[in-house]
Amino acid sequence: MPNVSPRWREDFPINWEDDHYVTRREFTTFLTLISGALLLGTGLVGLREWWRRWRAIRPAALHIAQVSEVPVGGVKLFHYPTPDDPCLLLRLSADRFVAYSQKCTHLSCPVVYRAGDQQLHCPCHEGRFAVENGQVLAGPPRRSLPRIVLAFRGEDIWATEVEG
Amino acid sequence: MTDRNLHASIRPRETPALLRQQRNTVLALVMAFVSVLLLIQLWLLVQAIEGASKGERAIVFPVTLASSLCFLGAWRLWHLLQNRQ
Repeated sequence: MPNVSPRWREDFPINWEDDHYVTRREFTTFLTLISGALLLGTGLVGLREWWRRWRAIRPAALHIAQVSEVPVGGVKLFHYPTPDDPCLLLRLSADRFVAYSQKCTHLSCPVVYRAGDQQLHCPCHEGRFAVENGQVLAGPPRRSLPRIVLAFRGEDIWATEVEG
Repeated sequence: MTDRNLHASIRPRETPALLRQQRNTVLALVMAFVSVLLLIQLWLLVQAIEGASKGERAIVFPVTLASSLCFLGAWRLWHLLQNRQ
């Protein structure tokens, strides 16, 4: 009996296995596309950083609180220089205010104020910063917390600049 | 020397076709190189994200440049492979 292919074979001439077969050249093309995607991802991170830096070059002064609003030992959260940058305003004594970025310099977890220890504490990896100057006291962070420069105009407290 | 021989002598030489085994070797090498470049790029991306998270912005731009070079290398190898029968 002669080997006659069925009628449907004319409409579906490609085997399932052949359709799913990936040649090495195709696989290399796929790898190159992934390389492009990784470059795109890295480029986006770079662009985002460039954008953040460009926006933060000369931040405008921001009114953050009134003196009477924060009790001694109290904390107020604000955002400076952009809405994506949380910061802490601390009142250490009646006439002493300090402010720092709330992002831990290790992996950007938010730090919290511990009045008992006079430290800023990062609960993620136990990083600790001195409340007086923002310097690292313990844990994995290697850089001090960025300090927010404050200005006082009467009863008003303004953030004017980021240091560090 | 006849005209035909003269033309043959001045005609640019074609690149000799590679043997099957040589083609396999070239293909395997290209795949290996591209894979290594991909791993390096992946590491660079992690470093960029980590640097951005830490606020170490100075690291992000060199890392982007290095990733671009890796991509160019991968693309060049892929291009070489596409043009080579």
